[in-house]
Amino acid sequence: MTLYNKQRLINLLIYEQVKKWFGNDWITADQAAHIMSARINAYKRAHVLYRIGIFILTSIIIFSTGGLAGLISGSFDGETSLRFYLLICTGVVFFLLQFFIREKGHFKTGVDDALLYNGLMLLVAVIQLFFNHADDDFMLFFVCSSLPFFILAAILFVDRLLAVLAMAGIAALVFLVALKTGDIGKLLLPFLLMATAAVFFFLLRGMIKNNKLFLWHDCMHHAQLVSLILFYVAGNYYVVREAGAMLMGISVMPGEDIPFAYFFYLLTAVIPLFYIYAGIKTKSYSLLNTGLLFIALSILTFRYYYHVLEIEVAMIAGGALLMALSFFSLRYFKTVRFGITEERDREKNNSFNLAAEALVIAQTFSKAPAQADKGTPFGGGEFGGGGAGSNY
Amino acid sequence: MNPLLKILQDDGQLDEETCIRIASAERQKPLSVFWHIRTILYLGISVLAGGLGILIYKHIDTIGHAAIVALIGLLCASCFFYCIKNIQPFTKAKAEPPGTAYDYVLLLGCLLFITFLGYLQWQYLVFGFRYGLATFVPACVLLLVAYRFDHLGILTLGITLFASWLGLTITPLQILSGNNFSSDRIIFTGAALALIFSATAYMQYKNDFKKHFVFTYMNFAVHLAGISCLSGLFFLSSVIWLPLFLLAIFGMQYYARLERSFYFLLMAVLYGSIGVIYLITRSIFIILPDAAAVYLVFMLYIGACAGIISFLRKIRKSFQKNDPV
Repeated sequence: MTLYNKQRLINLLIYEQVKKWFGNDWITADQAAHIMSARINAYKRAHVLYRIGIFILTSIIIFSTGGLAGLISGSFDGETSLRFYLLICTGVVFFLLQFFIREKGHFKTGVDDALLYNGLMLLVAVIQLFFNHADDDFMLFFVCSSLPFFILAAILFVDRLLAVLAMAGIAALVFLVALKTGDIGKLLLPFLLMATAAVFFFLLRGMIKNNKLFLWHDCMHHAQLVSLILFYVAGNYYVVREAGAMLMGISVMPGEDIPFAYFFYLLTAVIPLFYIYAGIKTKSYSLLNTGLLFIALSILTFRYYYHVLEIEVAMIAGGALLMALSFFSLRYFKTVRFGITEERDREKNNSFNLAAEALVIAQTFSKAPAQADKGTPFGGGEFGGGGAGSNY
Repeated sequence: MNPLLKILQDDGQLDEETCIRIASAERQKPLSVFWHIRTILYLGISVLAGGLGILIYKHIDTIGHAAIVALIGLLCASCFFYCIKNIQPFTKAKAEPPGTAYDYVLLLGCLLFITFLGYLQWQYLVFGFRYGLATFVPACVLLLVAYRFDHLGILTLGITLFASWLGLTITPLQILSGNNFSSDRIIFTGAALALIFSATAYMQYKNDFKKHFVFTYMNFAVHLAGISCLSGLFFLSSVIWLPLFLLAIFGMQYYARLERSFYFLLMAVLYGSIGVIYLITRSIFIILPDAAAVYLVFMLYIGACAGIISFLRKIRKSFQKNDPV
């Protein structure tokens, strides 16, 4: 269920996948070209800088038009007229969004991104203006009222950022509800958040295994990343101690420690190692990367409370250790061990990809010249001139 | 099984044998830690060099102090010794390092060299009171090393040091916060540096000498030129800076077309449109009374942005993915 053209989206994903397979030498140029020529009607991915540039420009247009129309119609005079004016603006933005996607064939070009994010922002603002009168529960109402729209938009527009925000919103919801329930909720907060993270991690994992949802796999992977971060952060000793001090006003006296202190020490130390282990076991970069990052955070956490070594000694020893570790891994993983290799991932090798693209394009053009002449995924010199690889 | 693989098989675009082969290859494909190892190595080197730097200054009055300095000197020397021993013959093209560790050992050597020289100046005033020399000399050494050993990272380090010799901070995150771009000295220095860098890039490009360094020089040049010219327009006399600004924008788009680089074209459009929109907005507010001016400015923004978007859409097709970014 998406507003984008499903077939064109699938063809784009296949195109990217085939490029990787070809980079790995798993299929021949003939096979790649055969697939490409049958799937020429695909979306293109815009250059990331182009996307950002167009996003900013479109946003300026949206707000300038809104401001101009508001000035002319005199909508900024009263609060009621402002509300209804913003409501109309939201409608117009969303109408334009579906127009650009359906009629103009935009796919993550910056135009649709700008309309989507600004439209959502307006929508959330309008809802608050119309309905949010609660003073003490403002945040709770805010999160509750925006979360469904974020999830819906993440699904409709296959958007990674919105998926990430939706997952963060769920965490925020649990956090706010727990605060409402008083001291018990505050005390159990780390466990509640960790449980939420774990539940959603496995929920998303189940959904990723479902092949029918493969268009959203990328979104789910990103939401999973948030749940991994949440799980670690919620159990981190520093966060638990400082957040506890802030929320419950508990100040830890010298010689004392927070409740379940040893449990949180254990979590801080073990979770990163477990992530790395699971990452290697399941060949998941997100687990491995977060694990490595969190090791550094755990070391900082312990150093914050226990100054075992002078800073310069710690830095020298740590630096030397890191260097030794990487030199060792360079040699050790020359041959594949534990499913790990030191070699560069060939499918991510850019110059190789360029050559592969040039080859595929040459094949495709020579086989399907008639099709390639219409607007194509490889036309127009977007990838052309792979022969210039000597420069890079 | 990979859902895309299943689609291709169902549509008959891949035969079953290939599908099975790909599926098993995907399962067996090892996890690549190529970038992990390099990131950790780089982190280790930075942390080690930083730690040694702190160590010197903390122990400056103790007896072990001379030993620490000697140790750093020795470490630095051995790094360079290792690199010189395995040195490759000089080439005008891009040279491949003899091993993975080579580039990183060189980097460590250079970082330690800066620490060592900084200490010598602090303690013994080897460059006397000519403090500029204490930045200029290491900058020159780093640049020489970068060219001889073909190291992009050290080149960037050398360029940054060279700029700081002239009083500019040009690390990407601090270029705006680290400098006071409303002072005319900084603006002129920035523009001059941009000129020097682009001239260097041009010479190297023309003579086919270390062409892969050109991007780094041009990147610094474009942003320095853009920021200095805009600051010149904002804070100094428009009469002088408007022609310079137009010249800079023209140069940027010329280079972008030459290299078929979408990145540089985008920067030209970005800096160009900020400047033009600023100038027109200012003129409108000078000419018209406030209320009418606001309407006109809104319309101007809408028109300008729509124009830039359609220009970018048109031009995108003729630009390749030639950018390292």
